[in-house]
Amino acid sequence: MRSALPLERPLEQAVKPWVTVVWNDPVNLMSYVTWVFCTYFGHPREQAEHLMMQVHTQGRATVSAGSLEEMEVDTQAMHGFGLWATVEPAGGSD
Amino acid sequence: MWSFRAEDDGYVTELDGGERAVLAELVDEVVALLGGEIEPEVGLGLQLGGGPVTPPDDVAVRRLLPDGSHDAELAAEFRRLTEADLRVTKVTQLLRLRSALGTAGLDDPAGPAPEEASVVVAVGREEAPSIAAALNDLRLVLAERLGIKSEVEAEALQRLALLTEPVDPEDADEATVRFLATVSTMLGILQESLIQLMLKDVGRGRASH
Repeated sequence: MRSALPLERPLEQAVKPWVTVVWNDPVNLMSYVTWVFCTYFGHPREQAEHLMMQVHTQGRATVSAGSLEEMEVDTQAMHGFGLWATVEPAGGSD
Repeated sequence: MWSFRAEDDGYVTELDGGERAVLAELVDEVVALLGGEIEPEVGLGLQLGGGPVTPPDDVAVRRLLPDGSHDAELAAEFRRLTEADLRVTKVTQLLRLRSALGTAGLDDPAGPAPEEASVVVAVGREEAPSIAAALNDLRLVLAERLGIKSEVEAEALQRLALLTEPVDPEDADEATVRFLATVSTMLGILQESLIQLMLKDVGRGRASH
């Protein structure tokens, strides 16, 4: 669990200024989203399911962070699977 | 019915000729929508890096190739960099599904009647992710065509497929929607069952991706 030190977020955003956000879609199967998160990002099943539930219940989840180029690669991969994802500047609401 | 099961080094299900024909037709339609017609020597003939910057006109294709950013400039840049590549990815996945469906009994008018030509559809472990992605794209296109915009509408569609009272033969629209609802359900069961098997194999360390 991340600590809430006020200095940390600005530092992280300087190093990883962009994020990939996956958006909810009424058609995508929860199991499929979980599977994508497991295999593409290498998350353990529980964490992948947690992220998937966040997409499902909150409409979106941040799935990765890094440079613009890195986020474009992740976003393209998500689109390849049929998930809708966007590249967003870090520090947006989540 | 329709669910994949694990067998040997892959996953199998059975589909009759009618079911395979419907799926094959849908695959062909979406491949065409994506501008795909693979010519082995030429590839898809799409330019990489100099691609379009405006979203596709067709809403179904736009769902398959959505904006990569809420910022218009970034979205255009993303599309320019990635759209051609994504079309290739998706067409390749769809053609793998087409191949898995086989051709036995599909195109031969002198062959057995569709209902009788029940065939094993086998998917190797390595290609399962491609098949799952292809099934997903088919479901996305169908949903766009049916105007599904929310979970509520998606569930309503599923219930439609379960209706037992016969469709009014005079109502072509209702027949179409009911038919598409059934196809959508079939695709959902195919995809869900395949993914559950794939997830099990991830757990066993036998994933391929």
